[in-house]
Formats: sequence, structure tokens, C-alpha cells
Amino acid sequence: MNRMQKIAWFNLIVTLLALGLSVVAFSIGYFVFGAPARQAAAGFGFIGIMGFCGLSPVLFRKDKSKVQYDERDTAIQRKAVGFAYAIFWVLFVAAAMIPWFIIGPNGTITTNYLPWMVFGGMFVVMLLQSIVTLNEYGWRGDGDK
Amino acid sequence: METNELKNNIRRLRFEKGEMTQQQLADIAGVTRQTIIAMEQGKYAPSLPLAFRIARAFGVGIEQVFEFTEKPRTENA
Repeated sequence: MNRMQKIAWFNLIVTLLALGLSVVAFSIGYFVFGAPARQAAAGFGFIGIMGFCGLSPVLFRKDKSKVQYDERDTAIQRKAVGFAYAIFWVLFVAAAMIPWFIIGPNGTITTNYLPWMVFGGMFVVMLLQSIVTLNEYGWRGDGDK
Repeated sequence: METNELKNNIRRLRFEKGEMTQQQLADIAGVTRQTIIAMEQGKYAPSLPLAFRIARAFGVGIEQVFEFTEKPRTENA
């Protein structure tokens, strides 16, 4: 398994962990303690765990081999980033347009919606980028054998 | 739909070249071993410069390493 695969695995696990903990925390607040949805939404603070993804290049040091990164790695990286941002863009447009269609041009929405678009976007990009990267390299380290 | 295929003889040429390892070829061609593995498995089509570097590593012409099969296009009038 090369460094890019390790980073992708780490980012995927951290991203899913952040989502999982957020959903669990929200569910406990909302269903177990009967808190209003707005208060229970504080559980989504666990999304902040995604910040650990920024540590992945430090945690996984460069391989000792002569060549670290080649044209195939570049192609995979481009494909993963391109795919992730293409989907992000579609969702971003949907997130911006759907409320406008539903509540109309004179409606109002809470500004809390804006950071949620940012965090949601980060989540989607990180998740899809990791999945496409692992899909291209292979989910296991078979290629190393 | 048109399906072009790029086959290669890298694996065979490695063994003919004194059982050259994937790592040795990777070092000569300036790529990672995983890229050599992916090419041998037909999962990755190299760029033209890389194809030339690999051919030179074996001391043969590029067409002895790579075979391009183009399926005929169906003409739409």
C-alpha cells in the first residue's frame, strides 16, 4: 500500500467517524433526551473531527523508494479531485437553489445554513476524493505484492 | 462503442532481460513499482514519454513493448 492509499484510508475513516459520531450524538440528544432539534444539532460539532484529515500528510511520511510520485499518481489525484469537486458543485448548486424554490424569493432562512453548506461540502469532497483514490489504486495493498 | 486496447509485453521482456525485477524497471523508467504492476496488469496506459523510457530500458522499439489494437469504427451516414 503506497502513501496515497494510506492517506486516503485515513481520510475516509476520519470522515466516516466524524459523520457517525455526529449522527449518534444528534440522535441521543433528540431521541433519548428529547432535546429540540436545534439544540440536538450541537451533536454535529463532531464534524470538527474532520480537521484531523489535515494531519494525514504528516502522519504518513514519504516512502523510501527512489520515485515517490509519478504520472499515474498525478492522474489518479486529478481524477479523484475532479470527481469530488464535480459532485460538490452539483450539491452546492442544489443547496443554494432548493431553499429558494421552496420558500420563494421573499422567504428567510437562518444563516446557520451557510456554515452547514461549507462543512457539508468539505465532507462530500473528502469522502469522494478518498473513495475514488482507493478505487483507482485498489482498496487493499495487493498491488505491492 | 469503440474499444481500443493497449496491450504490453513488459512482463515477458523483463524475464527475457535477465529476470529484471519490477523495482529495477521502475527505477530505470522513473516511476513507482505500483505503476509497473498496474501496466503489466493492463490497468494503466502509460504516457508516450514513459512508454519510450520503458522501451529504452529493454533496448527495443516501442512497438515491441506495446501493441495497440484499434477496433474499427462503425460509420454513421
